[in-house]
Amino acid sequence: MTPTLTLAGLITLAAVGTLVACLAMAVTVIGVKCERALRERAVERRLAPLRPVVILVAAGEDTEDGEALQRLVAVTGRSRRDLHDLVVQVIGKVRGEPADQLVELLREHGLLEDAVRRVRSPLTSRRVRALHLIGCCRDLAGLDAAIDALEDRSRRVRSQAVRTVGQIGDPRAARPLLHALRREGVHLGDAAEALVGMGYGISDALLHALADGHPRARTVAAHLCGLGGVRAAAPLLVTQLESHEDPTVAAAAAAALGKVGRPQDVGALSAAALHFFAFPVRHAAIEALGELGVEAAVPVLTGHLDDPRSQIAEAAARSLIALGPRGRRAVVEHELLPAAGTALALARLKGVAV
Amino acid sequence: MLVYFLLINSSYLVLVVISAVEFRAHMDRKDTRREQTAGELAPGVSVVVPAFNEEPLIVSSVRALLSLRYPQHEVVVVDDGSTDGTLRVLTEAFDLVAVPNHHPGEIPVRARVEQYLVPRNGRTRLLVVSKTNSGRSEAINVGVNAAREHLVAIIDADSILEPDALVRVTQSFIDDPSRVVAAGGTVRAINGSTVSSGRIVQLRMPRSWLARAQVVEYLRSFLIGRTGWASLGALLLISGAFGVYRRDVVIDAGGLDPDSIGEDFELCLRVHRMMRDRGRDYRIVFVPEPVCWTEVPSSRAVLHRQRSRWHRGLWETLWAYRGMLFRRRYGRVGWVGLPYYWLFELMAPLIEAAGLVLVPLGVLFGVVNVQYALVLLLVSYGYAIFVSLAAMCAEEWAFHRYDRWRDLGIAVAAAVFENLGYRQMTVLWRLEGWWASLRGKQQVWGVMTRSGFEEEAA
Repeated sequence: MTPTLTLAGLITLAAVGTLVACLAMAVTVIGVKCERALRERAVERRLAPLRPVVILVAAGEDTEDGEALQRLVAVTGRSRRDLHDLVVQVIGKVRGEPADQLVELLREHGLLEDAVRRVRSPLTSRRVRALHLIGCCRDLAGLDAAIDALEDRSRRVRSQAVRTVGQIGDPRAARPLLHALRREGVHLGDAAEALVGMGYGISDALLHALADGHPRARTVAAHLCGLGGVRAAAPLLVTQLESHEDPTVAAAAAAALGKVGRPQDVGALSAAALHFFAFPVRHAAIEALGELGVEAAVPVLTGHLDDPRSQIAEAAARSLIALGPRGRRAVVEHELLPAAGTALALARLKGVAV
Repeated sequence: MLVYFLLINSSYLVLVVISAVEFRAHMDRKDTRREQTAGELAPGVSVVVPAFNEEPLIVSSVRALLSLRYPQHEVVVVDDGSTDGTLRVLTEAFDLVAVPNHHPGEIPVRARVEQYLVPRNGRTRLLVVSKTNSGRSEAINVGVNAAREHLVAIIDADSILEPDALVRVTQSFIDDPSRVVAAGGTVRAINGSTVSSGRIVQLRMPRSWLARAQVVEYLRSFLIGRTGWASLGALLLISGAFGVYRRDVVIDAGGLDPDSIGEDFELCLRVHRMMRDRGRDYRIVFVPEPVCWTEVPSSRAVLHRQRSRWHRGLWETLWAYRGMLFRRRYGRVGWVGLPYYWLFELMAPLIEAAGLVLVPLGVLFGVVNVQYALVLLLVSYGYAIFVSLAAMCAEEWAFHRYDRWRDLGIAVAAAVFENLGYRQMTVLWRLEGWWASLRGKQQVWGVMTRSGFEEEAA
């Protein structure tokens, strides 16, 4: 083979290869859209007669003998799977008897029983979907499986398990959930929301996490102790604030002390506001001093009105205004300081008597 | 040269694969995830908007920003000495009154801050700062100084955010509050779409081919490039159109450099350098879902200025931070990210221009075989078109924001045009920017003319 022939072959190969690859990719783009459009159309067609019936049940307007529900129970074939997806979508938006009826429908179809089994499936996506279903239906029978899934090897499963135990809302899941926060894949925000969903019965778990938990668990526990008014947490929050191990935990502890702290905690908060601590801790401590409402904090806050960090100075001014007449007097006395002047102007616009 | 083109496009392809893995996870989560709410631990966000002569758009932009779905956010508009009625329309629309004596903040600024204004009702979380004209970077620094929340979202006045943009972008800050210091979001082109009250009501492909090519270009660089780089832990650029930073980190870094042309790139690199110099464990993350829409230039003159400026900024910043190259302390940023930017972002137009000039000359003088030239052309541009189409495929698979078949067809055609015509044009402009910097020519910013999207009548 001569070099010219080799080059000609190469050109042909390159031209054809490139063209084919580009065409294949263009076809793939169109194919992806086509497949989705056809699938959605088919699902819509199958669901068209069922959708009004589902809405009837969800709106609580089924007849007394449950005619609509029976119609849904009788659905078979491919429509049944589409119906399940639709019901799962709707179920999160309704409460009371209609929600119970829809859960009953899924139970009749054996879906919930199956979901508890599928939480132990070797396929990650199957475990995630099963947990999602258990959560949507708030199925207490699936609680143990969901708690186990908090320690699953897959972060996606762990993440879904957090939401599921939150939706079920049983406080028994609080400790395992806080323990699971030590691992990646459990979103701090999801965990906080899930714990809020479990109600007031979680305070022991929060105190336990605050004392011995992973820093992520301590952050969430501190935040929720403040949010839920767990006054017994104050000594532990002070310990977290004073340990300075982790600024995120310390900042959360400071913020919580603003809500559930005691008058004697002013000292710990005042110390945390000192300039050599991390900015988030200082800021949270200054705001907490205002929220705590103890006049003893006035001199400390006044000292921060000329802090070089604008947010600290402004927070101090806002806190002083929140502390009542003595605090407001201190701000007025320092009105020439930028932070005090601004805070006073804003407070006057809001109608605060200063 | 062929090797260079193969390498650059293969690197894109690697990023496509990495991003596809991310999108796969996104798709898996899609059916089962909760409706995203900011949640219990949401940090406060100050949305900082520098505005210069934005009279026609500013009121609707601010209203849209104030109505973003987020539990704790404020809007800080910095009027950068506008010569039109920007400040007047804001004052009238929001009934603003001056606040005396505001704290100057931590980042030093050269410009004179004239006044701080807040709505008279004292409750609408809007702060307008008026200052003498000194450029976008200083305007942002003034905004960061005035911001009262823990995070600052820096956006352009003409950027349109998705209603839950802040919810999406703050998720990483909530989950990892001590390590995540900055987050970028996908910015997409809005030209040709219909916007009502600062919200997109109908998404369409632009009418001009120049803007259409940029739609594909943005898809590739944001959706694929930055998602991939963030996965590798070496995201070096957060777009100026939308970026969220921890305020204390921006302050520690000294704010945006008013003398830098690539100020967004420069800030991101400075944050990387500062965190690594201090030995801090940190993360800069990226949200692949579209969170921000912006108007891209639809005229050659504006695009010319933009690309010339971008490349100049790229060169000046890379040169300023050359000390980070191949240093163990800077990890993947110094060993992977920066070398990539030098080789495939900075040098690309030079090598492509050399190819465009030398190969035809070589053919003309018989030095280069015609067939070899054809192979070079076919493989390099064909591969580039393939990569653009792959990016589109990823978009269609994961987000499919364009619902019309027509738009998809246009996008496929634009992927071809982007590589055969558009790209060659920008090569020359980028080189021009680089050359201007080497000669020490002063940068002229110019004015962005807006015409790309339709504002629906109220």
